[in-house]
Amino acid sequence: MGLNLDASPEELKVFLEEADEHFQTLEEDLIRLEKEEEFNEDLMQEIFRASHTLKGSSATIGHNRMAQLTHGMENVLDKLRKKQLTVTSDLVDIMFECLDCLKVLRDEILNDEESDLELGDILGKLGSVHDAAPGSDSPTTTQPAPDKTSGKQTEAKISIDLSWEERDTLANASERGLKPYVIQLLFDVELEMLAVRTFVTLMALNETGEMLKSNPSADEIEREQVTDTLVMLILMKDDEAKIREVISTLPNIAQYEIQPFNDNVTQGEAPVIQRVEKVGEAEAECDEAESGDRNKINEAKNKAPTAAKNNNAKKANRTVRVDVELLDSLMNLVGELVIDRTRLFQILGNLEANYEMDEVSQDLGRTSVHIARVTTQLQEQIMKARMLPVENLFNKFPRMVRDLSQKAGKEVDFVMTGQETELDRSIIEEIGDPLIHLLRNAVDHGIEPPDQRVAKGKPRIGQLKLQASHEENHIIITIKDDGRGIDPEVVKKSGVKKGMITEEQAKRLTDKEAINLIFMSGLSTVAKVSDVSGRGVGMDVVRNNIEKINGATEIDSAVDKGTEFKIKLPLTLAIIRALLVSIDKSVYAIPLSSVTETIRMQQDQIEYVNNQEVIVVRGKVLPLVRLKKVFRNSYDIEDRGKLFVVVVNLAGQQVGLVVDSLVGEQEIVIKTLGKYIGDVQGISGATILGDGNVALIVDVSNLIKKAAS
Amino acid sequence: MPKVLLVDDAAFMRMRCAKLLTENGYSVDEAENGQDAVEKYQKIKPDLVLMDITMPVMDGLTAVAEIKKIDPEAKIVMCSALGQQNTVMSAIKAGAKDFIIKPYQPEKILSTIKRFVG
Repeated sequence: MGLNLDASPEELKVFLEEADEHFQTLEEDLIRLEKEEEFNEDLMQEIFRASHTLKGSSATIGHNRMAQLTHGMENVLDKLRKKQLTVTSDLVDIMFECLDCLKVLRDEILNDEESDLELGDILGKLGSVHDAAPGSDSPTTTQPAPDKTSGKQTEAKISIDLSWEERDTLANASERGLKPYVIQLLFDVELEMLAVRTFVTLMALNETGEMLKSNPSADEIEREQVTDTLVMLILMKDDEAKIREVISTLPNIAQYEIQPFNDNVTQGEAPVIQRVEKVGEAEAECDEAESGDRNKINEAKNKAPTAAKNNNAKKANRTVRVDVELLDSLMNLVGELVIDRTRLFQILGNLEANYEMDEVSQDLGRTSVHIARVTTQLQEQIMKARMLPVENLFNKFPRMVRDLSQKAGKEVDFVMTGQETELDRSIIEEIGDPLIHLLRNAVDHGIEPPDQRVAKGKPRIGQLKLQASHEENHIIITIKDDGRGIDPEVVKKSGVKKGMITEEQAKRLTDKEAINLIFMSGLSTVAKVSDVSGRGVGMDVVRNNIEKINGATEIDSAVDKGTEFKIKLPLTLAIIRALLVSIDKSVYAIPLSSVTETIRMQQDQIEYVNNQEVIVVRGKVLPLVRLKKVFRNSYDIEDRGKLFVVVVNLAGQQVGLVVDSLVGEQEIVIKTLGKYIGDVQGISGATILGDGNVALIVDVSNLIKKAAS
Repeated sequence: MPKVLLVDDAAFMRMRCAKLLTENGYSVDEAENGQDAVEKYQKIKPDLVLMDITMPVMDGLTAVAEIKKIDPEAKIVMCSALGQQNTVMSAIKAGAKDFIIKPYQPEKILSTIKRFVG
């Protein structure tokens, strides 16, 4: 069932944008509020304002549940603001719970469907926190008081006791040409903010003449000692028609009576207007009118164009909303253009080499150069259009780290930098889970409990840093903690125990290689499985997810110093720079992101370890993989004396790929092989080259794994 | 066309209110906090100000006092949520003419404005 909100799609868009901003404010500020030792008034005000504005806006669009929740929040925040409550982590927990509920309620708007979220529980919590605070019968209670008293009040006598001074003024009034009038007003029943309404009415009538006396008096009204009646004694030049005219413009007045002031009243008692028997009727009428109105509104809503149901139109965004699919297909088209650009240059080269250039072909050349330039710009722009700041992803982490560290009993200072760094949106989608996993690990296993830290002579509070930055054609995300670090010996033992490596192998592993074992499936060094991590699933998934998008992970860890994960990501998924190599006259592309260097060497430099070809590069043993063997299944390794080795590196593991020759470096557009070909070992995709030929893209991580096994 | 200055920090509320007012023949200017309102008041000289209370930089109550200093005749209507009774009362004492309670009912806003600027 739809929510039947009272707002146009454009209005909802603005509402949702603002709501998201307020959620963000609440989230950030609540964390800060909890952290800061001294009560920060400005921060508190900001939090209060966010919830207050949300309340007003949600009530306006008719999202009653959101209004209800924010009202409850505001009551508690008001107490905090007035220092009648103090900031405790329990209270912050409750506020975060509210925030979670608010997000569900916001999603109701996006889906135009009421969720099954029950607010009873959280409202109860808010209520009990609020009621526990001193001074809890403050004006924040919603129910206005007068309906209880109105019955009695109409029977009571309303007296106008005049002091001697006032009687004096009264006696002199006629000399000044002023006539005294008694005005009695009865306000509408169940009026909200009756005191203020009474005050405004008093002020308005005050302007018609000289107010001698009122009951309740201005002071009493200010102290909210009001009933639904107001009696005034006014001295004025004009007659009562003037008063009627003024009263007729004032809102919320149910009945009134104006009488010239006479002796009878001078005795101190004014005839009281009764709230006529119509009270009941009036209420009934009022109810009827209201429900009538509601019906009308509902009808109108039902009649509202079905376009309102179009969720997409409602979703929040800062600018123009473009379907991701459209961006993807644009990127694809640009990819085609990029291929043609390369192709065009090649054709042009042939033309120049083989034919004499005349006017026409020179023209063609110039146009080609121009098209190439425009293509490059188009490619950059579309890539930019797909970029989002990582902020969108990072924003949810502070809250997550806070909750995790609280659950684990750790004290963590979480710092994020470089949130403005931009990444292709599809990459942002892919790295969310790996990052969450790494942050969880850091809090859960990396950072020690405060007491242990103190015992080790470290500061009590652990540092956790998340950083995004630009580095050449890559984005680097690092997660760094100053916790206990990864002990290579422990990892080795665990690996042997789980049968993943032999003891023999374990002995030969360097520390770095040992630490890299944690990326293998099934390895967990933690004795106890916690609520959040340590189940042995994870690190391999983390690596696979990152490699899937042509990224790479690196670990650097030292016992008791901490651990640093470095994730290197490409700017985009669709177009990469690649090193083109040839094997048996076919061209293959190796993603440049994983290439460390190319080496030209002699056949006789190859050495053998356990029948495995290796070379020694600067004192380091490098296993060789002959791509000819892998892809061509050809074993005849001709001894040409010279050979080319492309050194590739993934997550600290290096392998040398032996190729026939190096062709060059080029931007390539990644195409999948298509379902009918399916997964091919060692190949991750294909691309079209400038000459129109197809080149296969080498799957480096697959080859490295193969070389390792 | 009577000029109304709409003061609210929530763009959503401004958008909604401005739409209602323009549709009903008012010329609308917007300010997003009290400070902004005081500056715009001097520039625009509106016939009426609709003033929110809880706002950053300068709140509605302060803004009423500031505007009244510039123009003692200024017609200001406070826009209040339930529970801000005391603040509204102070605003009225500071010279605001009336108040409306959020969530707004269109007829109420219109009738209130009409009372002051016709």
